[in-house]
Amino acid sequence: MNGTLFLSGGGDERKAYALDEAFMRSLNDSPRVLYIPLALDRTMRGFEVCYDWITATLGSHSSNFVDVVMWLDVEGKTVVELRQFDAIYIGGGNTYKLLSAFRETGFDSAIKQYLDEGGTVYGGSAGAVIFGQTVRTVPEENDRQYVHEAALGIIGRYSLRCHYTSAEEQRIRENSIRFGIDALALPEDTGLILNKDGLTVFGMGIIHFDSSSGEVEPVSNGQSLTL
Amino acid sequence: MERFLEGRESAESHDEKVSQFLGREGLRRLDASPKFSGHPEFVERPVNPEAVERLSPDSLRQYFETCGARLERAMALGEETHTTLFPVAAIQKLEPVFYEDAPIPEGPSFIAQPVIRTQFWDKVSQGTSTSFVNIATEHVGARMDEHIGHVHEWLQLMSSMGIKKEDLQYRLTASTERWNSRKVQCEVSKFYYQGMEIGDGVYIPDFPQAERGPLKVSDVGFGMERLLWILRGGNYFPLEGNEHDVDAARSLALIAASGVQPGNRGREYRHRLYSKRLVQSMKSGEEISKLISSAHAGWLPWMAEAKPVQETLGIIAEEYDRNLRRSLLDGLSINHADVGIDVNLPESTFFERLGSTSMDSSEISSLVDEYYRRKL
Repeated sequence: MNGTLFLSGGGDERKAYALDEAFMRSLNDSPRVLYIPLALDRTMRGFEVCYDWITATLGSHSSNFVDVVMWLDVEGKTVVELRQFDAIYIGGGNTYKLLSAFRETGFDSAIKQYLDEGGTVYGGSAGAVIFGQTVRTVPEENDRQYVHEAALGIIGRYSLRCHYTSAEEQRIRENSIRFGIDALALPEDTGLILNKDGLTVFGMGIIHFDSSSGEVEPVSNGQSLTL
Repeated sequence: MERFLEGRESAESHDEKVSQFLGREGLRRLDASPKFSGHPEFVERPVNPEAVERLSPDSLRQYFETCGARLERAMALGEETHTTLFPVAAIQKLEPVFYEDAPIPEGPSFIAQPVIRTQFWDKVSQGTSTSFVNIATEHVGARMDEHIGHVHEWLQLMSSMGIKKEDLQYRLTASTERWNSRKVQCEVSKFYYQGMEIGDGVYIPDFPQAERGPLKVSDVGFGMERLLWILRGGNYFPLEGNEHDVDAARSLALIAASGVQPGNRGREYRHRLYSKRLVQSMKSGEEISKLISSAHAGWLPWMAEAKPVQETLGIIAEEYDRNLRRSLLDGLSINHADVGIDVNLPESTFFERLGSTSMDSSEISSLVDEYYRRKL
């Protein structure tokens, strides 16, 4: 993979500010960003609110014009259409819904190719989880009997869970051992950055749930993870 | 019809009542959203210019006044709403009632609201635009039978225009939505004509309130331009030209006529966005000027307040020319790494600085010619 992948533990724009800043700084002065809010269940008005939000959020990191295009479906979209963008921002919501939308349209392949070609992608919350091995880290989100659970598998053997709090530790550990999931749990003010140099922790630190040993270990800011 | 104007609610659900009513009116029920081809049969009809008169603001206001509705002024696009930067639906006129405990208006009202829906940016095509007029009746405190009565009024209106009820289809859905962090249960009847969604009737039985009991709300609205397209045939867009160019010109004219200046944030961001899109049209300044002027004339009857056309063009011109300079430089930067001149400089200074770059005189001359051809 020649591109850069920013994965956010979720939360509002204040919690995610530092990673958002790193993401925007990695782009040119006046970037063209594709925003995909498909994880959300929204009406027409809700999606207009989403557009207002994303332009304000990304705009807060630049004094220049940030050209944001929003797609509300990815049917028929290929890497050819993606190449016109400097970056892709995939928002949060229901992870299973998002993965299903990508898998059933073949858009997951387009995203992978875009990354392989050197593109930059930001995934927040659900938008981050889909880049792991599986989305079984968030079983509570499968509220409509979605069938797709195998995720995009970009970050090696790891799967993600976002919005992590210590109250979830036991449940995640059990899930990890039961399903053999090597899980990385990201609190809201943290993230991961994957590029040619590897997978690095960003922010206050994350938790690694090792499925084979059953160990739970913190991983600090700046530390690298073996893919 | 009188059966639906009874003074008490029956135990029947929304779906039962609405489907009974619409079935009697001759509409066909659908179980799923139809696929819209983008090229329906009515496009082939001979163009009927008289259709414009039937869907004029005055005709609509006259009709709904006879139905007992109060006429409400549209929101200005420069007005802040509680939920979105620009109005996206006529019902937002009632946001002070929903969110600020403003007095509940008596009876139904008719609103013709110009709206901006940027989410359709990549879907612009025949039948789909990022700006249009949402014509709607709104009634706070409406009982279910009164809501159905309003749907009936719209069906009667469309029938009198030539949109027959038996050519309409409908689909019933329900959703729970978050409006300004309040959970709102909506019972929805969506209406279609030859596969194209033309509007909907939304009944909200319990809109939560902070300081009073929940409100019942009836919101029945349609896209004016889609109805006009059905009646008129031909081109959905009222102006000739590439659909994306026309859409950008219309939306930009609406935004600028509302007094919204360009910028990188908030409402100003949309002005800049549309301006940049319009620059990509490669049209001459004269053509763009005509396009915007025509668009402005089209919006004027629907807007509560609008800047005159010359002032609107003035608001657009400086930003447009700036974006044009940017666009021309971006095209040259592939072969000339040193053309990063500040596009905010005065024109004369800008062109002077070009002379100090690696561009040769013929390239500069071509650029200048192209600029003056396309500038506003």
